[in-house]
Amino acid sequence: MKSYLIRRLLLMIPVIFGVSVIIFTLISLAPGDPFAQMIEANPSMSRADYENLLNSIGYYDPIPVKYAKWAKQVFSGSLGYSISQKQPIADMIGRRLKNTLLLSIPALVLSTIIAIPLGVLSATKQYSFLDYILTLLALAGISIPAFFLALLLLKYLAFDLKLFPLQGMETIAAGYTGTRWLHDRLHHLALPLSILTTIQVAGRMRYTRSSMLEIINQDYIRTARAKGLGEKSVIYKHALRNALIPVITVLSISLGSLLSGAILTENVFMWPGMGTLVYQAISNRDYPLVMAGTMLLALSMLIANLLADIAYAFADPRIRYD
Amino acid sequence: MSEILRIRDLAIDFNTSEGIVSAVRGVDLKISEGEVLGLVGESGCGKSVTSLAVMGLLPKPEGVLKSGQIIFENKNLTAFREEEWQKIRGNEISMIFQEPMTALNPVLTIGDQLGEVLQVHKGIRLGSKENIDICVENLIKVGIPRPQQVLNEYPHQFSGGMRQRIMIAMALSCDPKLIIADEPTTALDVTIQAQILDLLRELKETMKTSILFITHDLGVIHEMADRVMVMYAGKIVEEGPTKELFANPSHPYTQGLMHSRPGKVKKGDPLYCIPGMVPSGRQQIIGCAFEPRCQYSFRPCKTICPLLEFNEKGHGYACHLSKEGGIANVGKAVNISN
Ligand SMILES: Nc1ncnc2c1ncn2[C@@H]1O[C@H](COP(=O)(O)OP(=O)(O)O)[C@@H](O)[C@H]1O
Ligand SMILES: [Mg+2]
Repeated sequence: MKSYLIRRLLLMIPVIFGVSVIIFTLISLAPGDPFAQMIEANPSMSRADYENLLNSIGYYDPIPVKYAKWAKQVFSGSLGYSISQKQPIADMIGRRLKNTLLLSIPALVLSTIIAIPLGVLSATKQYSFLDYILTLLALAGISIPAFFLALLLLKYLAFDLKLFPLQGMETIAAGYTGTRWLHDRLHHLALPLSILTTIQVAGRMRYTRSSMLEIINQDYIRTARAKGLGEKSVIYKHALRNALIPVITVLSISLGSLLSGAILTENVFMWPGMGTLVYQAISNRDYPLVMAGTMLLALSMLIANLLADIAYAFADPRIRYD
Repeated sequence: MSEILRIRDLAIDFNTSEGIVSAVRGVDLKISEGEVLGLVGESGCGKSVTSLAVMGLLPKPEGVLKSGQIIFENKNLTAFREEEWQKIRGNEISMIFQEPMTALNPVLTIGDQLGEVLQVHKGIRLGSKENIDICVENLIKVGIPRPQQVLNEYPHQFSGGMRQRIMIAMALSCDPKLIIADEPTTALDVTIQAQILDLLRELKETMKTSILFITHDLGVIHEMADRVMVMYAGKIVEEGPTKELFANPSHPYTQGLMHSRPGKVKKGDPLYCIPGMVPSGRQQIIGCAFEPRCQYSFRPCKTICPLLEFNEKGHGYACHLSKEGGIANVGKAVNISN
C-alpha cells in the first residue's frame, strides 16, 4: 500500500505538468486581453499607454516564454500575481477557498446523510408509493438546473417574503459579534446551502438506490436470509455494506468537486468563494488567476481520485494494492 | 421412523412480465428422520423452487404459493409469519446452495458469517470465546485446515470447494433436523465434487440429519439417497427406494434419464439424449407433461394426467402404461430403440 501511494503521488507530477501546459495554452489562445475592459471603461486611455501596459505584463511574448515566466512565479510561492487585483494570488485564494469550503463541505455532508438512507429506503421498498415519490423528486432535482432553482428561491423566499438575505455571506459593515454574528452567517448560508444540498441529494440517492437494488438480488443475500437473520440484519449488515462500496468511491471522487461544484450557486448568490473568483478572472482574462484556480481544481480532482482508490481498498477486502 | 417433513400438493406460480409460469404443479413429498431423499430432474423442472418454498424464501413478490401445505414436525409452515420462519431457517432447516462462489458475503469474514448463525439462534454472542470455539469445531468437521485463521479471512481467499465446505459448516451450526442441499456439487469440478460428496456422506453417517438432496445427476443420487423422487415439469413422475428405482426404472422419463448417463454407453457410441425439451412453465399442461417427448405416447396421454401408482415395495410412477401392464414391455422397447 505504501509503495503504491508513493507511486501514485509521483505520477501526479507529470499529470499536473501536462494539465498546466494544456490549460495555459488554451487560455493564451483565447481572444481578449486583461485590459480590454479597462479601455472600455476609460476611453481617455491612449492607445500607446494601453500597448505599454500589455507589454509590461508580457502579453506579446511567445506562449512558451509566458509559460516559463508563470511557472517561475508559481514556484516562488506566490502562485503568481493577479493582473486585475494587483495582489499575490496565494493571499486571495486562501480566503476564497475558505469561503467555498464553508459552503461545499456542509453541503456534501448534509446531502450524504440525507441521500443514503433515502436511497436504501427507496430500494428496499421498490415500487412502493414512497419509492415513486422519491424517484419523482430525484428526477426533479437532477433535471432542474441549480441556477434556476436558486433564482426561484431568491425571488420567492428572499425578495418577496424577505425571509433570507439576497446575497453575500454576511451583512456587510454590520459589525455583528458572538451569536448575532453566527446567526447572520447561517442566515446567509441557508439558501445556497439548500440549493447545493438538494442537487447533490438527488443524484446520490439514486446511486445508492441502484447499488442497493443490485446487491439485494445477490446470492449471499439469499444465504443471509436462509440463515434466519431478520430483515434489518439482512439489509443493514449484509446488503448495505456491499452497496456502499461504489457509493464511497463516488463520494471520494466528489471531494474533488468541493472547489468547483458550487461555481453556479456561488455566482447566483454572490458568495465570495472560489467559484466567483475564477468566474471573474475568466471575464477579466486575468490569466495568472485563472491558471491558479484551474490548477487547484485539477489538483483536487487528482487527490480525490487517489482518495477514492484508497477508500475502495478499505471498504472492499477483495481490493489490495501492492 | 417418524416423519420430519411432509409436503402436500405444493403448487407454485411465478407472475412474470410475460405471464404466469407454473414452476411447481402439485408435489407430494415426505422425508423421515435420518433419511436422505434424492430429488432428481432436468434443469428447470422446479427442484430449486420446491426447496426455496420449504425455506419460505420464494422470491417476492413474483413467487406465489398457489396451493399446498408444508408440514415440518407437525407445524404447518405455510401458515407461518415471517418471524416464525426466521426461527426455523438456519436453525431447524438449513440450506446449502449450488453456487459456493457467490453464496458468501464478500465483505464479511468467515468468522462473522459462521458466528452470526449461532448468535441469532442460540444467543451465543458473535466474537465470544464460545462462539469461536463452536465455529472452529464446525470447520474441523467439514475438513478445513487451520480453522482459527480461516475465521479472520474473507471468502475471496478460498476456492470453490473450500467455500462449499464453509457453507456446509454454516448449515451444520445449529444441528438442524433437515438440511436441504440444492445441487451442492454441480458448480464444482469433478475431483472437488467427489470430495464434497464424501464429506456429505460422512456427515450423513455421523449426524443422522435428514437431507433433501437435489441434483440432476443420477450417479450422485445413487450414492447419496435412501429414496429417490424424479421430478418432471413441476410434478413427481416416479418415486421409490433408491435400489428398487435404479433396478426397475419405470417411467419413460426415468428410463430416458438412466440411458443418458455417460457411463451407460459403449465406447464410440453416441451419448443418448431424450429428444425434445422440458416444457416451459408458461404453457398449460393438461395430460402427461412428458407426452410430447415420449416414444410410447398413446391416446390418453394427451388429455389425462396420470397419477402416481405405488406397488407393495413403495415404488411408484405416474404413467398410463402402468395400467397396460407395460413396465416390462416398456423396458424392452427402450432396449430395442437404443
Ligand atoms: N424468480 C423467478 N421468476 C420467474 N420464473 C422463475 C423464477 N425462479 C424460477 N422460475 C421458473 O421456475 C421453473 C423452475 O425453476 P427451478 O426450480 O430453478 O429449476 P431447477 O429444477 O433447475 O432447480 C423454471 O421454469 C424457471 O424459469
Ligand atoms: Mg436449481
